[in-house]
Amino acid sequence: METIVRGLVIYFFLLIVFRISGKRTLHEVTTFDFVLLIIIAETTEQALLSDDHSITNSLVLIVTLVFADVTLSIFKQYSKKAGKILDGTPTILVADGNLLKNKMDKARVDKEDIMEAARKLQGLETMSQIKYAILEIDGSISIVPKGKA
Amino acid sequence: MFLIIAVLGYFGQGGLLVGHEKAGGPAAGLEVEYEPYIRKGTPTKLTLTYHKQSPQPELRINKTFIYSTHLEQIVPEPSGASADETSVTYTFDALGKGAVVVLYFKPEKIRDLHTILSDGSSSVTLEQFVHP
Repeated sequence: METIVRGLVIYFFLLIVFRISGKRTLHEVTTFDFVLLIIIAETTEQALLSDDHSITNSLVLIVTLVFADVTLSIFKQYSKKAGKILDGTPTILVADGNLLKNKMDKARVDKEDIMEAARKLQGLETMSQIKYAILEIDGSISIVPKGKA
Repeated sequence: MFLIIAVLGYFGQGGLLVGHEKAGGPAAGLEVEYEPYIRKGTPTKLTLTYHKQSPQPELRINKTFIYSTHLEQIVPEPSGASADETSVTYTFDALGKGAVVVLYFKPEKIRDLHTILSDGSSSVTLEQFVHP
């Protein structure tokens, strides 16, 4: 029982923390971000297992975490609003070549990030060639070039 | 199903149905609080309450318990220990009426743990299952 409570608390705490930290956190991983993720994983492991390293504890934890994940995904499927709250929604950062500054600031994305995505994905060179730049739910930036939309 | 069994407490660490159980009682002179389901290698404890005052308080533990667990600590610390073919006996300087003795241990074998605890005059038998 204690294992289940511990697992659920950690699961929802991590869900909230990574939801607040924003979509770009996991997509743009710097060396320090990577180290931070390792520290978080290590700390989480300690919090989850405590001093109980039995197979039973591990099995209960795995089943609890998978159960929480599956339950949330079913919940998101039935409630679009819940899905928006839990996963967020795609954000338009550029419309017709114009930067939407307030949305970019909120998502902590700068012009260079958008141009990098435009070059890599579509081979575009200037902002004016972009019809839409969209920050997706997974933190990646999609580019729709002018003349295609 | 697996999760329901865990919530009910059959995998140890307490639950909605199975938690801490008590064996013996004031009438028997010795009362033991224990968990019926414990896990291998995980710290757990037995809490003994001595309801009778004795001039030479002692705690006798059967061999099965000693062989199957790693006894980490006894609080309060015993003043002496002796062993015979079937058990280990710890003696204490003084234990007042209602005194509590706690045994901290880690189960080392996956098995049905059949423990017999005695204060010298009365004994209590516990059945615990050690999960892997």
